[in-house]
Amino acid sequence: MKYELAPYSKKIISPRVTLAVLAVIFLFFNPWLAATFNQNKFLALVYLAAVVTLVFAYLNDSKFVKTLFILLFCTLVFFQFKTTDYANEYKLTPHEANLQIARMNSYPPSLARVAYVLEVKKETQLLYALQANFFSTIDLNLYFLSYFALVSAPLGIVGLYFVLGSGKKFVLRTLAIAVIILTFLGVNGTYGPFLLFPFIVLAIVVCLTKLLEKMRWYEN
Amino acid sequence: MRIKLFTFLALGVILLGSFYIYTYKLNDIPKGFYVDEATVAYNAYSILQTGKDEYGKSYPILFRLFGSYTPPGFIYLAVPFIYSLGEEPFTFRLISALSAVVSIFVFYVFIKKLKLYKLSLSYMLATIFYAITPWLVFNARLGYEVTLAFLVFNIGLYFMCVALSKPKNLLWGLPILSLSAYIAHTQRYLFGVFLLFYFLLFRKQILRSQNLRILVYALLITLVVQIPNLLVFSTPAFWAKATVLTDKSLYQISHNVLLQFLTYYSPKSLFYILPDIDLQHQLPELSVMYNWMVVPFLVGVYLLFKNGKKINFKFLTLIFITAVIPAALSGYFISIQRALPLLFPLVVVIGLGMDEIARRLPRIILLGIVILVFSYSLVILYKSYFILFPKEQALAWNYGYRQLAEYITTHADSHFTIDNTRNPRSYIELLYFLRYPPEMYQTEVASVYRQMYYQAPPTVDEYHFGNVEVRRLDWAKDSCARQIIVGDNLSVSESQIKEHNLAEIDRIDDMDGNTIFRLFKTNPAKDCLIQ
Repeated sequence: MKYELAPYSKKIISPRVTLAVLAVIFLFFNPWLAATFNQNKFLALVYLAAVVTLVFAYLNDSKFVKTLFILLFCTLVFFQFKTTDYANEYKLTPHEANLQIARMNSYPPSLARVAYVLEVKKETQLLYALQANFFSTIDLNLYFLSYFALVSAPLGIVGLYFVLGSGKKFVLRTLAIAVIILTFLGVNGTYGPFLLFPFIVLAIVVCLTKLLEKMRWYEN
Repeated sequence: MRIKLFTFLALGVILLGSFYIYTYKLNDIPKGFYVDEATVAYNAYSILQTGKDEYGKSYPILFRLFGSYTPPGFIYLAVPFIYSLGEEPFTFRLISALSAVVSIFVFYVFIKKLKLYKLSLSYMLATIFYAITPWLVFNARLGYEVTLAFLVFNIGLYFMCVALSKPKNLLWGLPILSLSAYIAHTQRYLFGVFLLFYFLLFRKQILRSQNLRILVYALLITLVVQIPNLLVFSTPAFWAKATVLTDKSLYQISHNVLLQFLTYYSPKSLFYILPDIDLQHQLPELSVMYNWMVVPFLVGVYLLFKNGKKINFKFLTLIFITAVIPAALSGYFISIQRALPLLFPLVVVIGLGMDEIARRLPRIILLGIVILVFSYSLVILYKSYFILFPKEQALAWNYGYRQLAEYITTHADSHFTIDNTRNPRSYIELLYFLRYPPEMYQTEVASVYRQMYYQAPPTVDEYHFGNVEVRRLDWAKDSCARQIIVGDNLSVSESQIKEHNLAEIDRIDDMDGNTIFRLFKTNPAKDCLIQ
C-alpha cells in the first residue's frame, strides 16, 4: 500500500488510517485510559471498544456497528452510575448552609418571600445543583486538563464543530443523553465523567482525519 | 418612517433604563472604594489642585500610581468632572457609567453595520441584553479606566469594520483605536495585536494600490497621535505591565497560554462561575453573563464557524479571538478585567444564536420567552449585584477606610500608625478620604520618584503624611511612641496586646458587625519602662 500526494480527491480516509489516528490519540492524548486500565481493566476495555465502535459508526454508518456502540454505551452508563456518588451533589456543605442563612439575612424584610424562594426553597436548590453539574459537564477545562492532553483541545473543539454539523442523529442523540445523565449525576465520580470521553475522542479523530484529507493523502 | 421612530424610541428607552441601572446608588455600591479607584481619584484631584500627580510630576504622560504606570486618559478626563461634581466616588464611577451607556449606542450601530442577523428584531434584542449583561453593569460602576478604554476601542473597531468596504474610514479607525492606548494597558497591547491580524486577514480589501494614499495618511495621523507614547517608549515605565512569562521552556509558556484561552472561553467561566482569583472582580452567584445565555452562545459559536469565510463573520471572528490575547499573555492568573474587550464580540455571538432561535419560533412564543428571560435576568442581577455583592465583597472593595479617615480627622492631634501588611497600597485610601493636600504630600514623598519618574524606581511600602504612617508594625519602636496603632484582626495578637500594654479604644466593623480595624492606644510610659 503506497500513500502519495495526488490531485484533490474526496476519498474518505481508510479504516487503517482511522485506526492509526485512534492509536495516536490513545497513546498521546488520553492519559486517563492508561490510568484506568491499571485500576479497572474491564471499564477500560469497554471504553476502548465504545470509542472504536462510535468512530466507525460515525464514519461508516453501519447499523451493526451502531447497535454495538449502543450496547457498549449502556454499559458505560451503568458504570457511570455505579462509580458516582451523586447524592453528594445535592447536599449542602456546612459552609454552604451558613452562607444560605447569611444571604437570607442580606435581603430587606420586604423581600423576605423572594429571599426564601431564591436562597432556601428545595426546588431552587435542586435547580442550582443541576446548573452546577451542567456547567461542569460542558467545561472544556475539565476534560483537557485532567483526562486529555491540553494540546488536543483545539483538535477537540474544531472536531466537535464538524460532529455537531454532521447532522448524524445517532451521534447527536447519544451525546445529548450523555450530557443529560452527567447533569444529574455530576462529574465527580471515581473515574470522572467518562461517559462523554468517546465523543471527545470522536471529535479529535474527525478533526485529525479532516486535516489528513486536506493534506490530500489517500490510499493507492 | 414608523420603523425608524420605533427604533429611536426603543433605543432611547434602553439607554435611559441602562443609565438608571448604572447610576442607582452609585456612591454606595460597590461598598467601599477600591484602591485602584482611590489612586485614580487622588491623582486626578492632585492634577486639578496642582497640575502634578501625587509624586510631584507635572502632567505625566504615564501615571506612576502604584508602579503600574497607567495611561493617563481617564485621570485627565476626570479632572473637569471633579471640578463640576466634587470628589466623591460617584464622580469617578459616573465616567464609567456614561461610557457604558454610550457603548450601548455604539454596539447597536456596530451590529447593524455587521449585518449578521436575519431578523431585524434580533438587533434590538441583542442590544437590550448587552445593556444588562453583568459584565457591563459591573464595569459601568467602576471608578477607573477599563470601561472608557473599552468604549473608545470599540468606536475604533467600528470604523475599521466600515473601512473594509470604504477604506477612507481608516483615517478615523486607526487614530481612534490608537487613542484607546492612552486609556488602559489592555488596549495598548490589543491595538497592536488587532492591527497585525486585521492587515493579515483583510489584506485583499485594505492593501490595494488605490488605498495606499489613505493608508499612509492614516498611519501618519496615528503616528502623530502616538507622539507622547513614543517619547516614553524606551523607558521602563512604558513596559511596566508587560509581564513576561518567566517559564524557562517554550512548552510551559504555550501550555499556560492555551490553558488561559480555554478558561476564558469556557462556558463554565463565562456563564456560571468566574475563576478570577481577585475577589474584587466577582459577583456572588453570577459570572459575566447570565446562565441561560449559554444556549444561544453555543448556537452562535457554531454559526460563527460555519460562516467563517464571509467577510463580516471573519471580522467578528477576528475580534472574538484577539480580544483575549493580551489577557492570555499577561500572566498566570485569570483576570476577567483584562479580557473586557471580549464582551462586545461575545454578545454579538450570543445575538447570532438568539437570532437563529428566534427565527424558528412563532412570534407569540418568542415574545413570552424574551419577557421571561429578561425578567429572570433582572431579578438575578438585582439579587447578585444590589443585595449580595455590597455585603459579601465589601472587604474586597476596601470598605472601612472612609470610617478610619473620619476617625483620624476627629483625632487630629494623635499620631496614627496603620499596619499595611495585607494591603500595602492602603495609604492611597487615606490620602483620598482625608483629602490630604496634594501639594503637601508631594513634598513628603521621596523625591527619587519624581526625579527618576519614568525609570520606574521600586516602591517602598512605607508612607508618612501628616500625622499618619502607613507601614508594617515595628514592635521594637511602635509601642514606645505615644500613638494610636491601627490594624486588622491579624495585625495585633492578644499576646501582643498584653506584652506591649496596649489599650483597645475603638473598632471599625463591616455591615455584618465583623471587625475590619482595631484601634489601640500605646502606653509608652509603662511598656518602655518595663523594657
